Amino acid sequence: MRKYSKFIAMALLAFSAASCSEDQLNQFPETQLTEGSFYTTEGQIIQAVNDIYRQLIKVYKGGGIVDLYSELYSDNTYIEFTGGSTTFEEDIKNFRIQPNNGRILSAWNDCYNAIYICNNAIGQLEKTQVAFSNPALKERLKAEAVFIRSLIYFNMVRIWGEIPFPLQVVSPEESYSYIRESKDVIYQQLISDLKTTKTILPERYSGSDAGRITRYAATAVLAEIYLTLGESSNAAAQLKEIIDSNQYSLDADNNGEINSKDYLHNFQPLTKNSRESILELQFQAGQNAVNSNYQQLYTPYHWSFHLPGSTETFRGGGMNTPTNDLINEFESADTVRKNVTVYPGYVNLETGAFIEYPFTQKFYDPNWRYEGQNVELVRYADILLAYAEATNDPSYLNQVRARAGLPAFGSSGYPDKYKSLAEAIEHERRVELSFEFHRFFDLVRTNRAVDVLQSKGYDITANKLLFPIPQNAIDVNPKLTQNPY
Amino acid sequence: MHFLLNQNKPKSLLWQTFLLLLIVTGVSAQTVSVKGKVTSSSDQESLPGINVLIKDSHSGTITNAEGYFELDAPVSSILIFSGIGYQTQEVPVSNRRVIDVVLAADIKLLNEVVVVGYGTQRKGDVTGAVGSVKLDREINSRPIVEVGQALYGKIPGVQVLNGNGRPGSSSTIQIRGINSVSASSAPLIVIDGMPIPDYDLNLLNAGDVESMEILKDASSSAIYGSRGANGVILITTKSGKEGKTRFNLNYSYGLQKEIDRIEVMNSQEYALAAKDAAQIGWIESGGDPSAPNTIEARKNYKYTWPVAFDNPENLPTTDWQDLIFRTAPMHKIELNATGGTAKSNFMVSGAYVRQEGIVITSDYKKYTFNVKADTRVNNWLKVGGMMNVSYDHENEPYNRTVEWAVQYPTIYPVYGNNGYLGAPANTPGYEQYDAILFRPKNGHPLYQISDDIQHKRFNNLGNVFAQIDFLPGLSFKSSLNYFYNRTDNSHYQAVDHELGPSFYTEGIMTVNQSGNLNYTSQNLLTYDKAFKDHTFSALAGMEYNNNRYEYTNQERRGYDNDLIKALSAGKTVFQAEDIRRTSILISYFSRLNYTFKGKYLLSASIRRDGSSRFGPNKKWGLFPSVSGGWVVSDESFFKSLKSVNNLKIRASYGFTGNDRFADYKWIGSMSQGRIALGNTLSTTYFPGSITNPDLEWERTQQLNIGLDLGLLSNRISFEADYYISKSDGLLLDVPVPSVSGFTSVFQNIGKLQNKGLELNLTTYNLRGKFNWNSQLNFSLNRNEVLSLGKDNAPMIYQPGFGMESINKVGAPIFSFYGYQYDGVYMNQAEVDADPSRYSTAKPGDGRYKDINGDGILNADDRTIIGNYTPDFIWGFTNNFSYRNFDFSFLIQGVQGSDVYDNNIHRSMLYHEGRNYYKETVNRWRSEAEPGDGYHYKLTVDLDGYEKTASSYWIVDGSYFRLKSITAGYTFKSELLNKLKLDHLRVYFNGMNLFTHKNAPVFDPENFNGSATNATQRGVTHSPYPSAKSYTFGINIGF
Repeated sequence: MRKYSKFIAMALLAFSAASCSEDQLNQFPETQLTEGSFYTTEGQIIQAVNDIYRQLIKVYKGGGIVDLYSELYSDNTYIEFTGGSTTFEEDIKNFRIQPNNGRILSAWNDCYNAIYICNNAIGQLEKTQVAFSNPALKERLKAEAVFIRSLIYFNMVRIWGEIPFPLQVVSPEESYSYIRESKDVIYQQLISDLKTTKTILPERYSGSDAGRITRYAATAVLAEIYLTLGESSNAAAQLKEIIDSNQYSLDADNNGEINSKDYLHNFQPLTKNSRESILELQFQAGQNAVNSNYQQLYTPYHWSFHLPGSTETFRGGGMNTPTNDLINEFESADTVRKNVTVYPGYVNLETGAFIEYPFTQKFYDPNWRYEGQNVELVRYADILLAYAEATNDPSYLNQVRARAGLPAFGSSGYPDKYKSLAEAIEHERRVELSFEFHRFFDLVRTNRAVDVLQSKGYDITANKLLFPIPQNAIDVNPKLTQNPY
Repeated sequence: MHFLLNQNKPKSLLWQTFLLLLIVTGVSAQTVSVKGKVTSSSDQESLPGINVLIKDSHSGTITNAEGYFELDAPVSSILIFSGIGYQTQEVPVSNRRVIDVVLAADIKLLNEVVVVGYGTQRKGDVTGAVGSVKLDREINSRPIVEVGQALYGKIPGVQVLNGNGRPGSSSTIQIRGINSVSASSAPLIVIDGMPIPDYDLNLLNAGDVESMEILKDASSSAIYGSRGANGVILITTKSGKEGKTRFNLNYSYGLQKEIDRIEVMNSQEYALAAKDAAQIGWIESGGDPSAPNTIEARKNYKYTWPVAFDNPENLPTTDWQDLIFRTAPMHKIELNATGGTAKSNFMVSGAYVRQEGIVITSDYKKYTFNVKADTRVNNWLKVGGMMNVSYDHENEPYNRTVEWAVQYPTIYPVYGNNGYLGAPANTPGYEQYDAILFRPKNGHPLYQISDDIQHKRFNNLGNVFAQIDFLPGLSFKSSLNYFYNRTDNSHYQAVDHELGPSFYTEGIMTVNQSGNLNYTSQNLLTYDKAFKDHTFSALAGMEYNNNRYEYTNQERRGYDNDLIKALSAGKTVFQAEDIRRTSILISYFSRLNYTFKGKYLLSASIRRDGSSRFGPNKKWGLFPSVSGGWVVSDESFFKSLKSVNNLKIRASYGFTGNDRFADYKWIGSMSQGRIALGNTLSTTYFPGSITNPDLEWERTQQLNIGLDLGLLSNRISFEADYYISKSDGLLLDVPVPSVSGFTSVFQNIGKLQNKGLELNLTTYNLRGKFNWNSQLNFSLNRNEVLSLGKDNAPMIYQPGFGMESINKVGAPIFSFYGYQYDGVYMNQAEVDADPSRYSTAKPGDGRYKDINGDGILNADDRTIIGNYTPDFIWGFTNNFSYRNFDFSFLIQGVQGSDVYDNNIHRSMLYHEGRNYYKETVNRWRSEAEPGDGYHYKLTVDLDGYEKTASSYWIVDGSYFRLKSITAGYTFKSELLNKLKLDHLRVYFNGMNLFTHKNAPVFDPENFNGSATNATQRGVTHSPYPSAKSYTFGINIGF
């Protein structure tokens, strides 16, 4: 026996090692769900669809593509001070964008990731074998996703012109064949999609669904597309549906009176989905909630900055500082709108000196670390101004002016500067809606961008009305062509 | 074939060296005077410098220049003759008066064993490229805490970088160039046969390390398969030896200082620069140059300056680098005991390091314990094991403290008049500039000094093994290796910044814990057989490796004050998260070494690895290698060439892999999001990555051709290696059209190449009373990206601080990318004459090259503007001894490396009020004062390319330095006998005492990034700098 003991010992040792199974090579994450095991219940599918609301925020966030194009790339804003890392923003601001602009690249990537998530949501809803407890819910969720995809595309086609236009999930291999689609095809698809979705979506939501996409949000975006395409009568018909629905009013605080307090109500930190609101980004203030970034980004780039009424200092991002030109746009009597749109500066708490550095208060939230004011993308005043534009009827413009306590267009007190209704609407939209992501879109839609900005000394030409396609996107897929820039 | 833990280890060079150096003229009653001559057997020449020692004593002498010696020795004693390059010979005195001795040339150098993967090998039989460092007296005289420092300048092809000077951090080691883009480029570390899961050279006490071997070529490292592509560092710890138990005590005390300072403007220069910037900005904005310096006249504070700047000679100067740097003491004590019998041996040791950092609040302690033992139970069974425990604790200073000390203007006092940090708001005359230009928040070096950042690491590694020799030459060894790391990190971000209540911040405490348990079961079967002219050595093995990592992180926010820097004091729980990961590696491997007549050498190995990290289609990988050698000098036709005692030609080829990427990477994940519909929070899910079932290791194939040459009985030995390696299947975040929803897909697609040359020359220059030997090495590596993803689209990275780097076919990996700076537009004529001038260019602005020559300066003109990878590196070690004195120095250098200095970039952004780097004194100020033609003017309105990555930010990272200098004295044996000591040596060591460099940075090696992340090398923003040190030590053996 003893002479074999070493073989026995060896066999035991070898066995102990060899007993490990090669099955162990299949390891899966323990703290995260995986793609392969998801979409198996109604709840999971709804969770995947709900992510489209996060995508909407991503496209509209401060520094997102809509913000960069509509406000930074306009006469509303400038950059006073920043750190060294805002070269790309400054190039946008100075109308000298290079195709390698990193902000535009990340915004482009964000847009297509958002489109992908919408397409994935739509695809999962279409192909799922899971029986929904309420089949109508499935259709509604799909309509919400189609709407958000359409709205993102509508922004993209206005900002970049012709763009790759996938309507379903595209694998990396397939993605090379998606080149720039004509604007015509894109707009026709968006119109048809929005027409369909508005028949499916409900007029309103309640409870924890408040803030989802309604029929009239789809109608409003459809109207804006028509307006952009110059189809005024189609736009007017859509806008009239909204006005006639009686769902919305300039009485934002819903107290039965329409006055300038209603205007302010829109920008109160706790206002959510008011009477005036048609489409609104849904935020929530506080830690671990859904925070926005506008106030942080648009306040002065000064360490000693603090919000009115607060002694806590924080350095803002220094973006979208209101220009003097914007401040001067306000009529002298238009104090309510002016004071919320532009706050003149702050007092240095150490030295007592007043520091003149204007910033907007439209995103005011005293909970500045974890801000969460809802942000309106479409509100009733915008609908009325658009309807005035589509119908050439100044009475709708004057409803908006009346709420601000200002004399009507055509009446004696109205500023002489704005002779035509078109000029009056241009002026009104600027003072009513600045910082709400309309300005540059409005100027381009009305074909006024080059004239207006050149007259103010900006280095802009017709070539610069579209953003360049990111160089990186062309490097990756050389079949994409570049815009003039 | 020998195994790591066998007794048959090379004798400690340390002890050998001590013996060699003992020169004692002991006299006793029964002695005779003996003299004689020592000659060489090969050429009958007399041999100077041969040690002649009386056995079992400390007495001896040395032969003179003619080879003669004379000493008094007991009549019955034995003389030991030894010398480098010769076989040691013992000769009984036997009452003789004249003893002439003929020494044979030593082939022992070639018989020396080196540690290789899963075994050892005769140095003479090595056919791959293996570098070896013994931790000898010179290295052990340095105040080394982590062993990577020992590799500086010692092995060609191995570059050591001290990424930053924080005590306790691990050196970055790059072997033969970077061969991965996305996976780690750090080598695999194997301690006493145990592969360590993560790169960390601070696990052990350097004093416990016997030697380190670097497996450089693919044939040596292929036995480590999917983990071998970055090379392998084999660390062998000390073992006990047969004989009486010996104690060795080493104590050193050192003083450390920052290696250098960064020169910045003094207050007078700064005031002038600030005025220039405001005035130039004002004029260029259309202002009247003679407008008074008032806010009323100039409308904006940025176009004005504090009136104090008009009398700059009265400005105070605070040297902020004086404030944060200090001369920091360091204590190190090591004690070990070794011993053994014919059957068993042991080694136990303990060490303690207490090191203050050179930056205030920086503090480090490290404790290590090591036990190693083995015993031969009977004629077929041997068991043994080792265990190493280390615990260290670091207090880390806030990571921007040094950067701020470089860039905060010298014009402020440390503290202002109300006790707050010196700043414009509390410095009379500057109040209006608090908001506009200068600020202490994120700027004053003491702004975050109350933060509390701690790292505690507990490491325990070890193994147990049993070896069964069941037939002659055939043995089986089974071992279980384990490694456990527990790391606790905490970071408290203070509320109060000594700036008053309006600058209180929220107060944040983040605490995380991680545990990593890694164990490897290893079974090796070896068979050694020699018959006639043939020698075989075969190895077969299997390994199972399991790595489990667990991590939790907690964060609270909202602290009322800084009294309690603990989680419990925070008002709200901000986050709590965890990570749990398991990875499994199952391996089978085999190697065969064959030697014919001792001069034809052949070796082949193969390894098959299965890894849980790889996709289901690619779970298993195969890594073969083959190598051969020819000892030409053993051929009969070569024997006549007496001066050449060794000439060997080596060649090897093999495949290795790199699996150093995150677990589960092939699996598409669902990530979590949050929405707030109806003011109610709910969770959403979205696909965060794409599933790639084909994900596999990166593969590197390497050809190595080498030559070993020994001349004059190995007094001169020379090694040369040329290699070319191609890595393919590189894991790249391959850019894909974002139409797919993703910007990149992690795929095995890229290719790159490294080729290089390594030379190493070791010489014994002088022998005799005065001994001098030296080692010179040189290496260069050329890196080139061969292919990337589809259409080879270049990949651009942001390595940090506004710089860009690019991977592009035909260029070296991670090249800096941007505009090529081309000096200053000296006047309007030069602006006008440049067709590609940018629209805002004015005299005094920088000009940039129109690379594509289209007459327009735009993004298409960006080009490669530098690369961190050096053209070549070198090291030169010299050891001297004279009687009881020893002296050594090491010079090492790096040539042709480019560094991105963010200090240059940031200091130009005037509106943040940072101080400027000194060279800007020579800037363009006006056509009358054009400066040096390189440094452009300063302005508060930067409207050109100053904020865009360009070669203006790149500096030359070349340097050479006196890395280490050591002087020691070993006491004579009379004193030792009285003190009952075996050995007593005192020494002085200086590290980094002198550096020659061009870059205005602390140390071109330093960078802001992790040791294993190659993308951030050479990107520096005044990180915690390296130290220079002066150390006194004493070494006692008893």
